[in-house]
Amino acid sequence: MEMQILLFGIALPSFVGAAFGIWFMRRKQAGRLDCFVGLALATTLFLSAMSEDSLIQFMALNRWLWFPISMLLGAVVVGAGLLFAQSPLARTLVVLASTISAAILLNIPSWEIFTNQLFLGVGAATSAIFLAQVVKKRANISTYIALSLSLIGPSVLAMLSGFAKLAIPIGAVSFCLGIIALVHIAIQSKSLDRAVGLSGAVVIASIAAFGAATGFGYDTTNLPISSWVIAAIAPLGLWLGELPMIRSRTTLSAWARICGCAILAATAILIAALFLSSNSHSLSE
Amino acid sequence: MFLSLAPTLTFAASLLFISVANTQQTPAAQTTPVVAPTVAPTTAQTTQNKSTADATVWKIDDTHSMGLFRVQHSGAGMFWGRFDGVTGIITTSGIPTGTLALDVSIDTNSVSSANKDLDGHLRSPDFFSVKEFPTMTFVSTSSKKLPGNMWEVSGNLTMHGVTKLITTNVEMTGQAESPRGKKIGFEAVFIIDRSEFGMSYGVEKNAIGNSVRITVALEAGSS
Repeated sequence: MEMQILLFGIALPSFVGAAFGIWFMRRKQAGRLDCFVGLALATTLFLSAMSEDSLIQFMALNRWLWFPISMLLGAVVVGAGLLFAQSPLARTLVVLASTISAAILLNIPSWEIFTNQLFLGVGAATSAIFLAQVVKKRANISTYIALSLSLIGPSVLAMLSGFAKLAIPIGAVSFCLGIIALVHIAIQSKSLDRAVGLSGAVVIASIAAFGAATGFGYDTTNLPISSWVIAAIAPLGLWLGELPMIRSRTTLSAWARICGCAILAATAILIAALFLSSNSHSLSE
Repeated sequence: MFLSLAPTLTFAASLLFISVANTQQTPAAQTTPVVAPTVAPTTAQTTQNKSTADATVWKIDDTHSMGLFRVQHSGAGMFWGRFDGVTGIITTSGIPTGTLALDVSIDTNSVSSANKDLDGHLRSPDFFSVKEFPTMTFVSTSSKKLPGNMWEVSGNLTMHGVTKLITTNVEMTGQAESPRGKKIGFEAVFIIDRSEFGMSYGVEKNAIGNSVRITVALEAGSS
């Protein structure tokens, strides 16, 4: 059973997503490359989620599947928008359009109200814009590894709350980023250096934020909200490498980016694990 | 000009898509694909009750009633779980020969397996999705007296947002007069395929069986 989950839930979707992303990255269309990476990552999430549940039934039965659908829509909006948007303002509007439209489509417990959806969408857009600042400057292997680690946070939290169907697709995207890192090492292509791009940043920030929001919305184990919030912003750990005393040192900055994301993801998991263990203890007394 | 308008157009297009998607989404989430019957259960039940002059309405005692389920795990052992939040109304007429009507509601959040981790998993969207579907219900539409203390009861079982017509035998386990008033007990055992109710986690991988045996034990007092 575990092998089937690994194969159909994680390995297959992430290989498809990575191949899709790398194919676009290697095309000689400088300036347009980062339009499609987000789509590749969202496709990974979508395929993995669909391997866990039936697409035919989701409309009536499984509202959580609006999460991968909304991420796919967000990726299409940001990818298409970036093809045309030139100015920083236009690109910001595209990011907002992507995250807000995805947030409105989400429609899961706790987030059906429009103001909540708007808050979530603007929050994800803010996170994506901050993330894009670093991704733009530091497009190298450490960025992929750091982002891969950051998504482990919401994935493990979903698993701890008993929501395996959510944990696996987010884990697949994390795995996909890990594969891209490996390809980056193997190929050493300059065109891969712009791989994550703005669309990738938007989709990663959205998956972290919306994935945590979905997990929180369905959580019945009452994990602390702080753990979900930290998991949602874990990709912003990349900013640790941009501290004034670190950013000029290439190697140190790279390690700081990895550690920043890993620390945030680990903190979220630790808070949740401590909460669950303390609850078990009090019940056994 | 077009380039500067592109983000706005993208935004407008996405909002349009959302409005269409949400229009489809809301009814879909609320629609329950009822297999049969076409008559509303409550109407049928009311008709049934009105036709009988000596109908007695019993209120289900949630402390002494429960739902139990049994499902195969890993193709090997049988896993048991229970629900405690069982409420509703039983209507009888002319016991032990008359008709029987059941309107039972179970709080899905009361699911328990005596293991906290498993309980969290059972409440998640992998299984009962209790935040989305806080109750499961059974509302009878007809009943037929069988020999002994048995009835054949048909009705709509709604679980995980799906309603299906099921038929089950219901046994009257006892009837007594206590200092707290009249009491009556019923028990029903039936089997469902959970994937028919959109609860398919682990079915394809044969980790958790599709067939679930459900036992509902009810005690009720006359109101």
